[in-house]
Amino acid sequence: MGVQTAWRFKEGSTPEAGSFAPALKGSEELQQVAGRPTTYWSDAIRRIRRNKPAVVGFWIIIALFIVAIVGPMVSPYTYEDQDLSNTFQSPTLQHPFGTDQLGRDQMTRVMYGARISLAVGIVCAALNFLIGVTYGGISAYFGGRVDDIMMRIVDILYGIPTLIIVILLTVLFKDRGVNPLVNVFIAIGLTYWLPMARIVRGEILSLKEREFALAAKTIGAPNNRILFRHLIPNAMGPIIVTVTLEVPSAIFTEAFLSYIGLGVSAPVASWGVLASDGTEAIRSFPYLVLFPALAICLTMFAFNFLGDGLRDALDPRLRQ
Amino acid sequence: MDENNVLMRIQGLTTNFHTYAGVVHAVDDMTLTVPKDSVVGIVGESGSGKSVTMMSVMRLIPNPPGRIEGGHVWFDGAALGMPDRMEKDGPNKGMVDLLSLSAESMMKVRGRHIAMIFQDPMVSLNPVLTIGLQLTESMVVHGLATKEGAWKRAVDMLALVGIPKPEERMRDYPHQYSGGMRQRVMIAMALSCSPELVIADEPTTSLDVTVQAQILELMKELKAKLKSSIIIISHDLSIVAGIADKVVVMYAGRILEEADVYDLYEKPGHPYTVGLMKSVPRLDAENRERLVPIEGSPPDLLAPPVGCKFAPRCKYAMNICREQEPPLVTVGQGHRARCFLHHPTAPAVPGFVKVE
Repeated sequence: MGVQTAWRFKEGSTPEAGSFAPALKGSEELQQVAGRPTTYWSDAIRRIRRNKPAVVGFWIIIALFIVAIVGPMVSPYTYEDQDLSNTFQSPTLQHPFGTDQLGRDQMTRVMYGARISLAVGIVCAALNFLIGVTYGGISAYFGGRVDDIMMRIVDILYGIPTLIIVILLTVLFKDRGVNPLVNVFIAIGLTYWLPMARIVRGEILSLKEREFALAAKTIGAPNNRILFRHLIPNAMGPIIVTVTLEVPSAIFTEAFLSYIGLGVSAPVASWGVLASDGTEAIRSFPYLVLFPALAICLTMFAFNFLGDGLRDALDPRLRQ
Repeated sequence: MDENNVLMRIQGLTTNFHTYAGVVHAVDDMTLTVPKDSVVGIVGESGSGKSVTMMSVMRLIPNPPGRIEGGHVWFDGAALGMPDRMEKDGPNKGMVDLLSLSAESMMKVRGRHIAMIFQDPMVSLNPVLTIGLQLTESMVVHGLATKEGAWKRAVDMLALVGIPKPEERMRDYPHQYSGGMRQRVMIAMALSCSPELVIADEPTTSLDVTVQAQILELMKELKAKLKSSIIIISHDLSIVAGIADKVVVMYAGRILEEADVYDLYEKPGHPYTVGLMKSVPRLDAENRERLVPIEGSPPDLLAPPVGCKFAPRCKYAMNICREQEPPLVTVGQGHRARCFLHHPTAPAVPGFVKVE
């Protein structure tokens, strides 16, 4: 280890007279910020991309939407056109899913059923946002007695089984020209926002104690602004997860109600109705029940995988 | 003090917390005057009622359990623009009692006339909203500017508090800022509506020492530029010394001493103030002075001592101190202290003047 006897510089560089002049620092250098960290959402998207089932689920849902919207439009058949000379056809090129007992194209009917299922899903998601989030948010934000009363109402509604509400509504609206689909919507509307209200309440209860909520108060922001502008966006992760997990359950409820004859009725085709009709002929023509059942399964899986993936991706404790 | 020069006068403010264990007298009979265009420092240990006093002024005490039980917070009525609410006569002529305002009117005062800067900028900014949105919010809420106007002014404010490339950084989220920069943003937010009064609640406590100095420097600079009064709350005498004109020492929910900053440091009039000063290191200490801590801990506010609240920890405590609480007596020009040592018959203590 010899003592360094001379200045050594990076190879190939020889300091000139100017090298030792004072370097002037600009104000930008004084306030350097280390490279841009990723934002919450870009981080979440990065993580969900690595989750294969969630990505597959996402694309299935997109495909489902396209099929539901475009499918019945491009199909040469409609869901109610009967062709009595062509009943109970096995799957062929003309009728890939076969035809039913009235000669209707099963594929068109399944695609049309997707419309109903997705409509139910959309209504459920919308109600979750409109009623569930608002209700839970208000309950938690104002707290105290308001919270007590609002949450007891939720508890009571929770106690009534969905099925009973729908049966009552069906009886009530029977033969009054009310679209049976509306019955299903009302039943779902009455029950499916409840878990959301509870989850949002829990989130807001903790968020409203955070410093930034107090800071928002000190700038004179009114209550509704603090709630909807400052608090609820912070609860967006759990809200989105809840919606993606609630939607399949609502779709399934519709299929179930139609299956037992309480939902939409003939000739409208929903997956539940198709499955129900198909079961009657299950021994001779199993493909009639196979395709609607597959559609239901696929949708359930897609939403649940996406929901699970979102939950993992949006959970801040799992951030890497 | 010139009567026309008062921005805010807290009078006999009492705030209690009704807890399961009993009533906590967090602020008791607090009286404080804030002149226009001045910096008032409030010093005290944790739990001395500094923050509760200011939250009472803002009327943001969580109720229940907290309640403002009495007193007035007089604020310059001309500044508030509430001529119909002004006191017609008496010593508080032209002032408006903030405690008598409706919740809606109070909302118009917050942020517009009185703004706050919090201790921890890491948690005081909303993590999901952009800096620009949060900066413009109070201007928009108070209808001072259109969205575009507020945006322009917010960019100017960011530049003013020393954030480089303010236009780009408006679209950033709080987590993209460092701690010191976030506190700068908080200051910009507080000043965006040009409030008459800015309450800074331990604005530098959670920052690095080097950043602390920058923030204090910035506050001094902006105060000169924007003509707002500042109330700065701190547990650190040295921070207050550097920026305040007038200092108030609080203990157990009341004022123990109030003086101009030079008077307080030169001739402290309360044993507690003396103790506070001896317990912080000084650069100008002549020889290697030892730091002397104040023995004991602050009293339990559920059952405070009967007499002087500081008596149990005071080395000069006399019998009377344990029996009754001393009043705030004037011991010099603008200098008041709550201590019996200023009584003519009390034993002489160096540095303490006697007043009748």
